[in-house]
Amino acid sequence: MPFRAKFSDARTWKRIVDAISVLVDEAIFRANENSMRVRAMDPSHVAMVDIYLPAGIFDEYACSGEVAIGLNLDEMGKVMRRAGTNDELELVLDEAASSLRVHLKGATTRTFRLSLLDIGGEEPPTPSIKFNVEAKMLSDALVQALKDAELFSDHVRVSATPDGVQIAASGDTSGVEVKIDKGSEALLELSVAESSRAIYALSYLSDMIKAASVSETITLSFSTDMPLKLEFRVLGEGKVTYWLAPRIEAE
Amino acid sequence: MLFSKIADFYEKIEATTKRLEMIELLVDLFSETPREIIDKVVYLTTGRLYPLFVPIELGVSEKLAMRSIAMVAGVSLKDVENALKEVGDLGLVAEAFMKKKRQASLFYQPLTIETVYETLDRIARESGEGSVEAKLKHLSKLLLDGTPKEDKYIVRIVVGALRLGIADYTILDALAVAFTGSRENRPVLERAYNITSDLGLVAKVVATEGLEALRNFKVTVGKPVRMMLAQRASSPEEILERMGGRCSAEYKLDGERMQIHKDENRVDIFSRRLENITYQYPDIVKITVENLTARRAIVEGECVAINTNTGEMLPFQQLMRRRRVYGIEEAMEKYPAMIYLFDALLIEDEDLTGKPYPERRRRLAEVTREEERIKLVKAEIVDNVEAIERFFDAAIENGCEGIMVKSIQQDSIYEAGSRGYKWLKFKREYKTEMTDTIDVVIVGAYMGKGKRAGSYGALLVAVYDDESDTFKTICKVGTGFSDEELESLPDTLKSYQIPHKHPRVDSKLKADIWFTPAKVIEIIGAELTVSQVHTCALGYVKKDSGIAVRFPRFTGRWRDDKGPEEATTVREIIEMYEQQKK
Repeated sequence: MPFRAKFSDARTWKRIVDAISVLVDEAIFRANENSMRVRAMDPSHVAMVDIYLPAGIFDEYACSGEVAIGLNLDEMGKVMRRAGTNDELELVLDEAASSLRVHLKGATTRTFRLSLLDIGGEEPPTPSIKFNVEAKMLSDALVQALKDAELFSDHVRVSATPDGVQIAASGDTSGVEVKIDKGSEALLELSVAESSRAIYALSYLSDMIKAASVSETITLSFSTDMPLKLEFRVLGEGKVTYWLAPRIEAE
Repeated sequence: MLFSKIADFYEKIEATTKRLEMIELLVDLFSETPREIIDKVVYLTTGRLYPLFVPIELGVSEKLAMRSIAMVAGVSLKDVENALKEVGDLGLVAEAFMKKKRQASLFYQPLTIETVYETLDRIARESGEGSVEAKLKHLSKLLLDGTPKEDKYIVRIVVGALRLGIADYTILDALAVAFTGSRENRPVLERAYNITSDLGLVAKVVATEGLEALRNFKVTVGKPVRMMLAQRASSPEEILERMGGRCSAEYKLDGERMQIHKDENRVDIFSRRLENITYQYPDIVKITVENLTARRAIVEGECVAINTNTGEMLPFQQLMRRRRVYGIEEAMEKYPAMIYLFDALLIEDEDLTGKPYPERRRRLAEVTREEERIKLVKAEIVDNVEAIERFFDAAIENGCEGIMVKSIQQDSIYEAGSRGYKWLKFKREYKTEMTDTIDVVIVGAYMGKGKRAGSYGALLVAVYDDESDTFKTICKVGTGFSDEELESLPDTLKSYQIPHKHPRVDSKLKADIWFTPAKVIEIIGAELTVSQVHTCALGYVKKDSGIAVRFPRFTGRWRDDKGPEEATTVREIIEMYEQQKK
């Protein structure tokens, strides 16, 4: 068996799948003996997701050599929606049948068989960006701020000074500004090398934040008119990172 | 190869007013294209990803393209909609908005032809749940990476409005020059094209394997053969004269011509324009699977709508309604149809196109089991005027629009893609007045005055000259339009509008507005007259004079089933003119 992995709580895997399917319909899961990784670029190249799951966060994990598992996330998502709250999950790669078996163990043991996709293409590189702002905050604060912004616009201005992070959106005549000040319980850490501001499309950002909200805290990094990086943890050492290209402000 | 190269050529082609220059530009484009992607470049240049007969459409609505433009430009959908209302061409709208893109990309890559083609192909293949959003993202990537000029053409291609107005034969000309060094070789390319209907394939083979490989092309099931067409005849006497005294006369049915390809249980049906229309006719598919006894065959026939109670044939318009009804099951029930076969191009693995017509017809009869909904077209060998007239009267009585007569001589082969004299259509006698309709292409328009202010007062229309591959004006038509039709004309024609006369249009008149020759309408008039202003058949009757339609009137019929090159030809007009003098 080249690859098998187990989560005692199937919902963990569901969250991981959801975090990717926000951006893409299919993805390659690359596994080796130490970890499992996914890197996928949204087809418009505006956003990207990078997931790192070290072997230690699984309840059981075994992988021999380098394995690439191409999956239709739509299909995987549907299967995971069938998982019960107390189900245990086991993933087993069946290379001979060119499929991934998904076992859901609760009162019964259900085995789903998902066919593997043959997805070519190179892995996107990591954007190299110098971030002037890094803020760790409660994810709920960000979720609420974006919901406020959605009332007025399809994009949001994110800015930061040494005093705090601000999120603003405006329509033709009305708008909203949310302040997450230093010292408030929502802002856990803030480092600002240079005050910065940038605009991001809500259609992407809201979906990302929604997926991130499974984690209590998230880290936001950005610089003026540069891509945004959004990072959250899964079961301690697991890490999900989103990248989102900005909208450049009009003159 | 960079996509910007192609965009530059398209811009030059659009700007030229001379057909020869157009060919030269195409030759340059094709010569600079790496040979392994020449097919893609040819398809893109025709505004498609595949030949017409491949039923894969990009499936990008104007709305979806506008959403993508709005997303990339960082403006609202409303802004884009308003710009489109003002400008009328979504390509130009995209170009303008892309000059101030606001959305950034994580990774920019200059667009290559390969990326553009592959991404468009992915867009075309996305289907089902979530496909609209997926199409949107793929398209947005192209717009993000493209320059404003590139984006203009990408948008035009995705919404099916590239419309460079380049005829297939112009492309063949350019391919012949680019890859064989001379236009003299065009007939070889033309034959290969006529039996495969696939310009990209012809381009690829001539570019990578050479002329000899094209000569080996064979008629194959699945690739439509460009249909053989008929000239007009105006009297039984003329028919006998042209046909050598004896010919086959057949009912000319008012339906949709079909080329049916059968391979075991699979059937594909191609229209006159070689579009794959199989999905519209599951009933015809079933009948042919069951009643064509050959395992593999290519046959042709006319599909007609019928009244199942009386067995009568119904007019062509009834059949066309099938295209507009939602749900093919409902359409089949509401507009039942049957097929009348008349020709066989291939049976089993034998190519019959080089065989005389009587043999093809005999072979067709051998493999056809006639039933209620599948029959052979009624035919009779005739060799005198009385017999033709009797047959003609019978045809009219049976609801036909006239008769077809076909040569039964030794050389009566199936001439793919040609409109020759081996087949003639005989509709009604053209006496001193014009009793038959003609199909004309809209090439220009004049602004209306008074009651018609704001819309068009008249359209400048043209017929097709297949010798020079140009469109010659024949009249201005302003009557026969309903008020609503008149009002909606500018909207209907907006996307065909161009800033100058199209290079393939030959006109002495200056229209207020010019169009890419694309839309075909049916008109009728009182008679054909000598004209000082129109270019149809210029110099034929008198030096510096052409032929025009007097008192033209729109019949109300948009011939969307016809492309501009399928409009009535100059030659046909000359024939009609000669006939009415008698």
